[in-house]
Amino acid sequence: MQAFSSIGEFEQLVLLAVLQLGDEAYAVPVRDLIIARAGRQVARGALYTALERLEAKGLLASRLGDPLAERGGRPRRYFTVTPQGLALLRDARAAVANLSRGLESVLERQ
Amino acid sequence: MTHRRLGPPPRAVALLSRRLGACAFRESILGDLDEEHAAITRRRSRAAADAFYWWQAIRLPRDRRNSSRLNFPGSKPGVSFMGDVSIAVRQTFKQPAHTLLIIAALGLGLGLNAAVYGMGDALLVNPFPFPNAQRLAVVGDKRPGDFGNLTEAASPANFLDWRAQSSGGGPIAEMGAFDWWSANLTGGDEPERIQACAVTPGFFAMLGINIADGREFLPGEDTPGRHRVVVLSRGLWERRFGSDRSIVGRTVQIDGHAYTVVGIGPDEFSFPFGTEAWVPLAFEAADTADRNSRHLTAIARLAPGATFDDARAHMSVVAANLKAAHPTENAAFETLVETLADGVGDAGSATLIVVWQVSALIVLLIACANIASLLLARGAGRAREMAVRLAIGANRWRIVRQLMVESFVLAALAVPVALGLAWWVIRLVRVNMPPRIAQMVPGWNEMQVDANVMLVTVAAAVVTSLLFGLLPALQSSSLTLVDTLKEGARGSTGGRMRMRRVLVAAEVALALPLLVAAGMTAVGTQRFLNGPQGYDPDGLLVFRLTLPESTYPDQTARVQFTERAIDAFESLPGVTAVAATNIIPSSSSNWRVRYELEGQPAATPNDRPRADYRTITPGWFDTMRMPITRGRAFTRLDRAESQLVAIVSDSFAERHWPGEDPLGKRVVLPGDTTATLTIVGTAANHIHDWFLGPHVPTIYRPAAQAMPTAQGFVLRTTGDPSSLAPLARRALAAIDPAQPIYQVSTQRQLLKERTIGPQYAAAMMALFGVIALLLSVVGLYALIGYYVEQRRQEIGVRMALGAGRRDILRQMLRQAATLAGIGVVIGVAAAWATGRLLESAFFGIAQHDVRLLAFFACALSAAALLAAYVPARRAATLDPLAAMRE
Repeated sequence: MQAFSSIGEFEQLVLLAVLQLGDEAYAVPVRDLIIARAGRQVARGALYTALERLEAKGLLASRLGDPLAERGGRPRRYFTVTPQGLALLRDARAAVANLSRGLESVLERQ
Repeated sequence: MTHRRLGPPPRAVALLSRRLGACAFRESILGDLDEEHAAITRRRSRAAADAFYWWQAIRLPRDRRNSSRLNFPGSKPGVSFMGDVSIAVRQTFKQPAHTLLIIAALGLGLGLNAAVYGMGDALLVNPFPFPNAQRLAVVGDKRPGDFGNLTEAASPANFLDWRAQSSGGGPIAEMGAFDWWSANLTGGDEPERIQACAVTPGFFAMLGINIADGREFLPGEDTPGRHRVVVLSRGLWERRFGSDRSIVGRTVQIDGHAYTVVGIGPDEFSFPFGTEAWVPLAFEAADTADRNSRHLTAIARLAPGATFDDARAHMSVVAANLKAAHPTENAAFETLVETLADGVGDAGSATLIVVWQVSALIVLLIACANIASLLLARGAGRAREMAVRLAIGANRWRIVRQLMVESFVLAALAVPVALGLAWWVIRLVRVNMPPRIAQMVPGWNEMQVDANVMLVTVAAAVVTSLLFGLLPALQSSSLTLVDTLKEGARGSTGGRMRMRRVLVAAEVALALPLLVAAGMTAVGTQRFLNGPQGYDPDGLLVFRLTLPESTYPDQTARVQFTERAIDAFESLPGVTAVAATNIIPSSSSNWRVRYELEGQPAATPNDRPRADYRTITPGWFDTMRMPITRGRAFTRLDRAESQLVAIVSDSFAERHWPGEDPLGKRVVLPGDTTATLTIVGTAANHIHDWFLGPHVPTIYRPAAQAMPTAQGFVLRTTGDPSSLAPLARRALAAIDPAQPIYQVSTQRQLLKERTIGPQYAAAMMALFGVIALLLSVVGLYALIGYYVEQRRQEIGVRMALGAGRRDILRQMLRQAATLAGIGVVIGVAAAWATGRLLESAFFGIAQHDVRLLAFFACALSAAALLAAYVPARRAATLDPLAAMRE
């Protein structure tokens, strides 16, 4: 629960997006996915800060890909969710689910 | 493999990469943006992609920084100083009307101070725009207790001795002198009177001025015979000689003599006092022995390392020697050494500037009280915020700091307003001064909003923000949660309201003395301008001319010229009377003589009484409409060879023969040729100098018996006097085409120029007074308005319980009246004291007057009640039910 308290809603969205994208999770599609699915604007700068911080907290790991010509010879940084990250997402989801039980009529109202 | 990639703009890449700094993600961020750039290029256009990239180069690093600051502990806004500033800025714009009011008040207060400071800096501290000004001293003789500066305070013989005895390597490196001179410049289309100055060789170098075109005077050019050389000012050279560089080496005609032009002065240089041409100061043999006529101004340059006190010590020894050697001439004088600014600056300016600066400071103080009161009101609105913050552990210092930063932000916003206002005031002050007065006031044309003024204004803003910010900040930070929350919706504490009342009463108390001072100077100035002058100043054209001795060598020639000129002017259409005199009333010059009365024991030369001395042509009293009170006026029969006669003013007769008939008494004017004058009439008093008033004893002589070379003409006209000036010029040209006239104006203009100092004093004081009044009235208005806002419910309840609208109105007005009353009572006492001070500071101009005091006390009270009436009426017309429901 300690990890839970140190992560914000936006960071949770980032973790989920990385998980969704699997092997193709680098910043550009992560951002596109959050915009598309969560329906909120994401400043690129804020996203990089979140990625950096999540890696610092050990919830994400990253590796560099091969240099690509269309990126001016620069590599992509691919992210994967670490086991701690996954645990934290599960905890969070369970907490939400537990607290939501019985509220379906309210929460799922149009 | 020649893959040619169209990447993002390289300069944007460089910018972004620099701004990202050394972060681990930099390469991948740059890569991601490259990729997005390529995608946008494909999807839309290259231009759109480039624009996108530039935008990201600017935005992305900022977003990164901001998002990390928001979430990392230790960098929360409100903890760092910059955080305080950003809160303050937001707070400031949250209440725009409030903020604008504060900025306006502060801008007014600071701006007036900046303007006066700028004037003082130019007029008193740095009036001279040449390099050595700070190292120059003025040396001169002064009678103890005499008023005035050290110009024209050195006699030729004394100056030569001073210079000789200072050349031994002491604290004075070199000495020079100048002698004011005005001369007729002829040889162009029209003869012209120019302001000239005779200076010792080396004068320009002593000031640090380099004559770029040509040279300055050489040693030896001060000997009579070699002295007909001239340096022209740049202005004269441009105006009169069409900027013709070949004029250097040629000759020009000055006062009928050929002077060789040896140089042209630098741009804007016109020291002393608007000089247009400099010639060498040549001492004739008679001059070098003259210790009595102190018409030179002596300047000394201090040796490197020497101080003014060193120079004073040195000169006191020199002066003591001279006193011992020549007691008759020097015993009554002390030899003084002053800075250039004090020695030749305008003696009256200092008082004026000090009075203005004090007034401006009072306005600033009122503005501060006003702002503090407004901030207290704002603090009331935020009392709960502060109390909660204190309760959950913010320390008091943090709250004070944040509120002080808010004050600084307000002050910072007011500084540009203040500087703009200062610029405007200084411009007005400069523009409205007639040029011929402006050139006489050293530093006048240097007045401006410069770096110095800006620096002082910023410093003043900081100090002021402490002044108005500290009280509300301390008040806000000493809240306790329980008390504040108990206050409920009103949010105001009794202490805060009490403090605001004190502040508003203080504003009223401070404004009253300023208003009274403004009234005093305005009334005094009005009297100067439009009060009785002792003659009729309307419909008079006046001008001066000076007859060069080369053309008019003796008295007979000058008398002939004058009579012909008067006849010519009299025949002009619209002219009813004409006269000439040595000194035109209210002109800036004067001529005084020492005299004795026949049959009374002779006094030593320096103890003889003095009187104003006037030579006049027969038509004088008619032309001026000055009544002859006894005896007769002069006629053309009073000639050089007939009996020497005089007319004296009533004040003169009163001084020596009170209750007796002065006709037939004799006045002796001692001198090279002692003249004994028989009094044949007395004339009514008139005012020459408003500071001295109408009772200065005056002796009139017929011009034919004592013809001066410089004369003023007065033409009484039926129409607009100034329209006659061209006719007068033409009439004179018919007599002598080489003779210029100058200082052509109407007598009214002359009076206006002569009293320009008091007019300025009055205008500025009025400005201060009006602003003070405005600020204090706004303060009262805001206070009562706030009071009404805070008490809406209470008022509603009282009305529901049966209080009538008039009761409410009366109660609100009573509040205002009490405050204004307390303020006015204190203000009356303060005004009384400042009135006395002002009387001695502006002697002659401002006179204490109980009626003025009473008038302004009533006016201020009325204005205060009126200001309170608006919000009070709002209170009285409240709908009680609506107010209670709030």
